[in-house]
Amino acid sequence: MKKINRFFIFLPIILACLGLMGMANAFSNKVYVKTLKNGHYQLMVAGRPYIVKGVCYSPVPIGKGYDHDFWSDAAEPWKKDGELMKKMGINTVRFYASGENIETVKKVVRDLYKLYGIRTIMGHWLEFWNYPAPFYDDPVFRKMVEEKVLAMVNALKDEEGILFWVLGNENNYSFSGKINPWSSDRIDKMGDPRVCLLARAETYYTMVNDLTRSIHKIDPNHPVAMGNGELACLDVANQYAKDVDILATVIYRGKTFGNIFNSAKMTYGKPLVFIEFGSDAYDAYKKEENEDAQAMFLEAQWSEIYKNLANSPAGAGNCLGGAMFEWNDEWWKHNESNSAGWSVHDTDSNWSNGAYYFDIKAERNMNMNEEWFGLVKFEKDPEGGLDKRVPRKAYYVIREFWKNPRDLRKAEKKR
Amino acid sequence: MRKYLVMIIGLFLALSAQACFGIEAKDKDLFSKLEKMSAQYFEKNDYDGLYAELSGLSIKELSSSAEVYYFLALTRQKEIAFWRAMKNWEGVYDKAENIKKSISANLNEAQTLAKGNAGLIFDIKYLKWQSIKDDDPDAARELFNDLVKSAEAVEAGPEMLDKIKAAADELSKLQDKNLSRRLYEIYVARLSNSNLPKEKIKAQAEGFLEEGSGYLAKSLFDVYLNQLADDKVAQAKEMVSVASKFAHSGWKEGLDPIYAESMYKKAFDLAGIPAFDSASAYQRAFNLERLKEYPDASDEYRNLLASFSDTVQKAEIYFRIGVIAAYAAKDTDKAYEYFSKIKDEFPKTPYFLSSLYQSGLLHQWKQELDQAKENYDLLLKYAQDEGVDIQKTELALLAQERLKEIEEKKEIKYGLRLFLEGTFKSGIESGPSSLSVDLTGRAAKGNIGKPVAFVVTTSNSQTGCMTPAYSYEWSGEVGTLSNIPNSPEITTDFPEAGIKVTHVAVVGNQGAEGVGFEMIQKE
Amino acid sequence: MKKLLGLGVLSLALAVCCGVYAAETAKSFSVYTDSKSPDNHYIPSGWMGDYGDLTMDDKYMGEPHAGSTSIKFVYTAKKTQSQGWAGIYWQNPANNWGSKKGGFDLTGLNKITFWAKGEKGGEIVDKFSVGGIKGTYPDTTEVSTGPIELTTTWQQYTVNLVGKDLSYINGGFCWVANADSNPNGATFFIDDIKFEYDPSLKEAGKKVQNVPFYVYADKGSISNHFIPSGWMGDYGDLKIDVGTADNPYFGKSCIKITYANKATNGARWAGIYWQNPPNNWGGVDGGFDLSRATKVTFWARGEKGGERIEEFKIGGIMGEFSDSDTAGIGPVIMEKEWKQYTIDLKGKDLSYIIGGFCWASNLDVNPDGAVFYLDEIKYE
Repeated sequence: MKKINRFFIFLPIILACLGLMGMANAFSNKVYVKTLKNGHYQLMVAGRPYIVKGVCYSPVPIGKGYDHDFWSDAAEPWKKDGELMKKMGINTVRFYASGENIETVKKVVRDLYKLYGIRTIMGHWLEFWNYPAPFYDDPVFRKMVEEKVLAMVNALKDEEGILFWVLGNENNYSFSGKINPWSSDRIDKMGDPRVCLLARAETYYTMVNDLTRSIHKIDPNHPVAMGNGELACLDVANQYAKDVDILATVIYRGKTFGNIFNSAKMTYGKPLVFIEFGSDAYDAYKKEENEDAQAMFLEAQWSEIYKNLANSPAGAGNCLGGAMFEWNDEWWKHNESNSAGWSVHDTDSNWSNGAYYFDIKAERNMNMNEEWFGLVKFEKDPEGGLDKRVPRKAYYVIREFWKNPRDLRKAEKKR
Repeated sequence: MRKYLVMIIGLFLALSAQACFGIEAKDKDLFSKLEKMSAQYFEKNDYDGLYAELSGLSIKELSSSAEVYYFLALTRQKEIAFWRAMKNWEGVYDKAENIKKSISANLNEAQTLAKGNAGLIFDIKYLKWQSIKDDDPDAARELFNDLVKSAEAVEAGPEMLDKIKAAADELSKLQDKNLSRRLYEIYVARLSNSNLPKEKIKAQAEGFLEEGSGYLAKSLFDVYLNQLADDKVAQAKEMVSVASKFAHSGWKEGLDPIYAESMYKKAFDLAGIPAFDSASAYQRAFNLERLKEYPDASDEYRNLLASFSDTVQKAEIYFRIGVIAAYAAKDTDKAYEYFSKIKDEFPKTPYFLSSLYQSGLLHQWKQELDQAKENYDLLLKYAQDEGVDIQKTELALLAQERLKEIEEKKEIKYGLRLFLEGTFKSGIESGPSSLSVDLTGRAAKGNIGKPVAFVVTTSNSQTGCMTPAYSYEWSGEVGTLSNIPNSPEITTDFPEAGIKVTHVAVVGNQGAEGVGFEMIQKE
Repeated sequence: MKKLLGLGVLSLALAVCCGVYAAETAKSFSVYTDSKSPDNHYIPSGWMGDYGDLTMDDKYMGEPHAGSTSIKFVYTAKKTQSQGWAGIYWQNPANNWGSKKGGFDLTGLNKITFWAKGEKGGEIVDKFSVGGIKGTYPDTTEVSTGPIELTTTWQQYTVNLVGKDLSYINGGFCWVANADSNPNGATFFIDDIKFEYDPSLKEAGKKVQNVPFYVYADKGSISNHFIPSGWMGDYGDLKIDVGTADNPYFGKSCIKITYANKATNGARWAGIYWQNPPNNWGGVDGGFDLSRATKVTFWARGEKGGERIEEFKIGGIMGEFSDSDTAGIGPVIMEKEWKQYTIDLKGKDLSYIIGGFCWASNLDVNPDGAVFYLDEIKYE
């Protein structure tokens, strides 16, 4: 054969291969929710089913506060943490929001994925903490929110490590007007507090839906999740936020999720992922650390998650997994404005939850210790380097659980 | 021929004895030797060191020894337990995986080699259960049942008994008390069938008592007492002594006051008064009083006075009889009788003032106002003579309150009147339909200044689901508590010595539905 | 002769050396075997309800289950004390309603068995139970079984006590019957009551309750479940009368709730939870399995009309023992006339319910407070 002919035979083949590789590249990045024949949901990543075994990640060192920019921390804490996370079996981290400097954010997302195989759920507050209030009913404000969200999506959508987006956290608690209140003349005129609540819900969920559609237009490769505190007001979301891909809830119900899987299925019908759940490791009653309770609660919670994954016989089949709150203790959380307290591992408590019964007898029932939710605790490095990470019992217990998931209710006959 | 037969039998006996006891003796030595050695290492938490030394042993002469394999397993099990206690999770979760396999292998080897050594087999089975109980609860249950069967089937040598008891003691720290109870019952049954001297059995029973295991203590005390059946009086005296260990002492709650009374009764039936002394006779009566068996209590107090007329607690006993007569038996004449005895015989005791107040109160209730006034006046006079501050001491203040009522021709204060009405008026029937009110103060005896917690419990035999809302009218001596709440529970303290008499009336929709009284002694 | 002696010694030796020694272990604790049996424990002294309707013969010799006697009970159902029900508790000591430290420590046993038969067949006993007496020295547990319909032949019944704390049991045994189920009375026999240990017995699963399952029918009704014990918010503003005869919807009485507008505890809201057992905020294992129910219905009316209750709900209590789900309706604006309301339970997990019913409201929507009535609250 003439040389030239051989070239023309091989070239298309080479081009086709390159083309396929290109397409493969596109496919390998795609994340989507698959609906199975039985109505169950599965998160698909790179063509394979994916269980979100995640943690909320905010590596603020001892002595720093809410405004600490960990993305540009020269000590690169995510490398230390990534290594430990990988050993545990964690495959996902959740960031509440992206950083100021988007290049640092990209680096962190990339490092976590490339070095440790850990993917990122990236969130956006939707300007919820805007001062004096988030004016969701104001179209100008909404436009500003959209610009910011789309800017973030545009910047990060091509990062291989991105898993999906989360809009908002527990913003729905503001609908009653009692928490981080916002309103507008239009809504206030309605008078009846319940009607106002429903109006706010409609406004907010409509906005989230619009954002979802906008994101889908520019980024078809990653699903959009809507953050929600408990299942509150989802009947309104069911009407106005139909384009959302995933329901991302924040749940603190103690060692059980109750009937949440079926309830979510009935009210909103979307696949369910937890973006905050877990237990603190401090017994506010006995005033001592209690790693056993935290490990026990987390294991029970994971057992229920697994029972409700796709194709699990006894469950709702709508759960995609969850991101535990949280990877590490954050020493600033108890009183964020008191910078002296950032170097102290506060054991005071600001809220009470009876489902965490092991220390509900604490004074005034205040038993939830914000600075003690980590799977990993910090110890100050005497040489001034990165805080030493010391895994708690829960780290190991969940590691073992993921190796051998089982239904704890069957195993635990005795209460 | 016969000679040979006898020789053969004798030889057989000797060999069997050797067979049964000989091996045990040898193994016992080895076991204790290993036990001592391990204890030294355990104290230092040097598990690797111990494991190395034991492994070295098993290669040398003792390669077929079950004990060594057992201790190898025990070392590793203790190591895991140590890691858990130190919260060394890396150890518990990372290293323990392989270690558990070696524990299992060693225990299986030990069990194979330990044939005939019942004590060691028990230890092996117990360790097996411990090593898997957290990982596999179903298998663990089977293993535990097997362990119990072993304990039941085996010979009751003293070492075996100790092993069973040690295991039971360890298990009693767990939440599930059924586990330890099953072994304890075997232990107790064994002990009662063994030839242990009765003092040892008694000591064991007392040990259980100290731990608060009333059930087990009683079982062993019964065994102990049965062994004294030859000498009725001695047995009866011991019964009384045992009874006193379970009776209410006032300072502490009695572990089983009903059992105590049944023992007292048995002792009395057996030997009469010689079984008692004044202290135990008092305890019996006091126990009955705490049980609210007032007629019996009163009888026993009076029996005590008759049989032990030189008792140092006479004044106190007179007072108790008087109060019981007044508020339980509703017999004011009897009450006066005993209060008078105190006036006559013990004018210098706190009971004197108390008896004057109670007498006064009863007279006042019966509208015998002159006699009432006389008693109250006498109380205040004697109080002042004794240097008591009548503006601060509760009894004196109460007396002044009553005097004021008499002088101003007023009715007795509301709460107190409700109590007296409830006690003495025949309108309130006591039968299954009425409200039974129990007023209990704890501790019934205590030092001045130590708080006393009063609790009112009401039970209506018509146990409907709805708990009605009651009011609680407290009266009598209520100590330093001011502003007494309308509550079924109050805590107060009494700054003076003596017996305090407290009342409560429980008021429902139709008025007072029941009353209660209590005596608290302070020293 | 010597041969025999030798053989005898030999056998003795063998027995001593190699004998397997079976110990006696106490695996049962008798309540009643025969009338004079020294093994008996507890006294059937606690007569309740229409005690005048009851007679008991504990030496009844006609066809006992075993031994020489059984206990014969006659319940006339004449409502002598107007209660409509009657029962008997076995206590230790007699008549101990919790004020005396008596009882027995039954740790190590895990069930009670007894034999029962009816004279005619068809007698209905509402429940047989162990424990449950409260007071200063309360029983450490309460377990029931029933209702049971008796037959004319001796049948054995069991109450599973696995996993229960039996360290102090004063109310060793108890039965309760009511006049509605036995309009012509009931005569029945019980024999061989004893606590036993069964190594293979596993913990009893939760019994699924039948519907209708009443929260409230009438004051004191034996059908009632849950107690309105959980007062929340401005509890000082609340009064509840569970037996007002003021125009009940059905039966003799209904519930009247008064919510004053004083904000006594500074909360400006208030509510009441019906709980089992009373005051159970998730710390006690007291949930009912109500999975058979598809809805909760109740009748309500306001004193004046216009009273607004923000929420009527069931479930929602979280603790060591959490309600399996929650469901509710609201806000509800009362009318002066009785009106029925329904809480839909479709899709809800009702396998474990401690908070059987609840209402909550606030002063923003009831500036003058609220007085309202409830009746016939039931799961169906």
